[in-house]
Amino acid sequence: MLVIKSDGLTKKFGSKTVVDSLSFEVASGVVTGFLGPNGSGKSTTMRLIMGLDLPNAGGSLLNGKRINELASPMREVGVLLDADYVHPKRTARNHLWALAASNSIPKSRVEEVLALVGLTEVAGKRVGNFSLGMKQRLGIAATLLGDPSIVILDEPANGLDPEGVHWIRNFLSYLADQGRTVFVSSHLLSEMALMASALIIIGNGRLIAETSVKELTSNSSGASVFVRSPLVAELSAALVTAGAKVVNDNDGVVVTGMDAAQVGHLAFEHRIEIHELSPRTTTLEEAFLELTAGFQEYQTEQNREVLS
Amino acid sequence: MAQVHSEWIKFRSVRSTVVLAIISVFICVGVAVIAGSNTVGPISASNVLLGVQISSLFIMVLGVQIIGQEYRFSTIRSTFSATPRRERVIIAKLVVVIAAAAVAAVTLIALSLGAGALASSIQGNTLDLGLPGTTRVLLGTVVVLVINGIFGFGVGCIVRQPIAGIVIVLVWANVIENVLAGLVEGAARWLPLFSMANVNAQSMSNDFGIGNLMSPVIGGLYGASIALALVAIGIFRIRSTDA
Repeated sequence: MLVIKSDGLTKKFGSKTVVDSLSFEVASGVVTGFLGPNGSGKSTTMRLIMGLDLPNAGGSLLNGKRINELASPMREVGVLLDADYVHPKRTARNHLWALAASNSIPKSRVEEVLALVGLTEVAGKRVGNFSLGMKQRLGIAATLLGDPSIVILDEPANGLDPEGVHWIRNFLSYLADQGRTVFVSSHLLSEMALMASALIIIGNGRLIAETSVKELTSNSSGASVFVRSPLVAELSAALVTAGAKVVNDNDGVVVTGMDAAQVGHLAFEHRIEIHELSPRTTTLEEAFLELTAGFQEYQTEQNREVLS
Repeated sequence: MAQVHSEWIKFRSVRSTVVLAIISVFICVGVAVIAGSNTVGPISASNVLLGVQISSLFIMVLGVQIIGQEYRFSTIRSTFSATPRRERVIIAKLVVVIAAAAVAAVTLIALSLGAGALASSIQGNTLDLGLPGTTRVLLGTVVVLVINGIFGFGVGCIVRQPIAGIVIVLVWANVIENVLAGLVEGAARWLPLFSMANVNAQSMSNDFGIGNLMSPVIGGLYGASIALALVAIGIFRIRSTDA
């Protein structure tokens, strides 16, 4: 079942098109990573989904309905777009009470989510005195108030210290383990690789790929096979003849353009003994950088050289 | 009701909005004490409540703040995420503005009458609530303060920036209406705040030296219509722009 469906989403700020005919789908019960370079339109897309920004064209459905058609929105979708969307002079508890009251969520649930994110002891303090990490926890508490099946988080680990990042990582896993649909944008690609089942990658507001981590990393040009053999010269010749690219690496060769099974089969056909046959997958970060190379809004000269 | 409850929690949980309401009350009480101490003979309700003109400015600012602060701190995005039907939020806020202004009005009337009576009794005078027009003064004060609150809220919805909204309502109330009333003959009748001059007046006047003014009921309805029209324009703007 699809729980988030965006169709032809387009948003312009003045003459600049920030989100450009973006269509994608997020399936239920999985963690979907929303990736893209800085300025690619991720946050704007999330605001469009939540109806906070008004699209120039297209639209989004949540559980088959437009956001303003949901009877009790917080019970269906919880969202954290920015931890600073709080009044600094209001206490954490009052902030949550006000949100809960708008969707007829009982006060007791406020105490539950405060305990869940570890803010019970400071719930009576004004949010202006909170660290960024505490504000992030408060924002996540707000997303969970209605016990929603969909959770949308925009860069939840942004600006956090290592302990905060660790907490967010565990918490996202906890949400996913509960079977919630988590749609999360993040720069933490290594974390995303561990958690996300699906990926939506955009650049310059356009869809680049709607894929999975496994598919993305295995299809990347960086995916290779390392082969070690006493007859490495013969094997290299056979591989090149078969169309693979071969680069010497210590006592073996790195093969691209063929997977491990194809390399093994070729060696068997040529009766070449092999001592090691290791697939080397590209990291998500490498695959992401390769995929979005032409979409980086701000690049250093060094990056341009590396990417070119 | 759920949305009104939510907005009421927001109103009472931030000190600045509550402080504005309290200031509006005590300014009027202060003026009542001064009036009670300096009036010779029986003092009328309208004399005791002279400070309502100043209090109404604070209530207008309160109206601006109730929506303006949401935009200033971007909490409007949390609010509209929880309640995507934006007009519901605005109408709930309007109810809170009306309730806050009405509570402030009733409180300031009670305290001002008490303080004015006490101050005048020290001078050997009495507060005379039997004078003609006293009921109009008391009820009209509530009406005027509520309409001023709605007026400020409407401006706040349109500009969605607290500082700009506060400047606009204060300049409008203290400068623009006075200049227009003085320069353009007959203009005062149609200016939203001047049009309500008779709503809480002890003795009705058709001419404050600035033209033919409306009766209390018509003036109140006219002022309320203008204020609500501003809110309607604000709702249209808020619905048709990014949060």
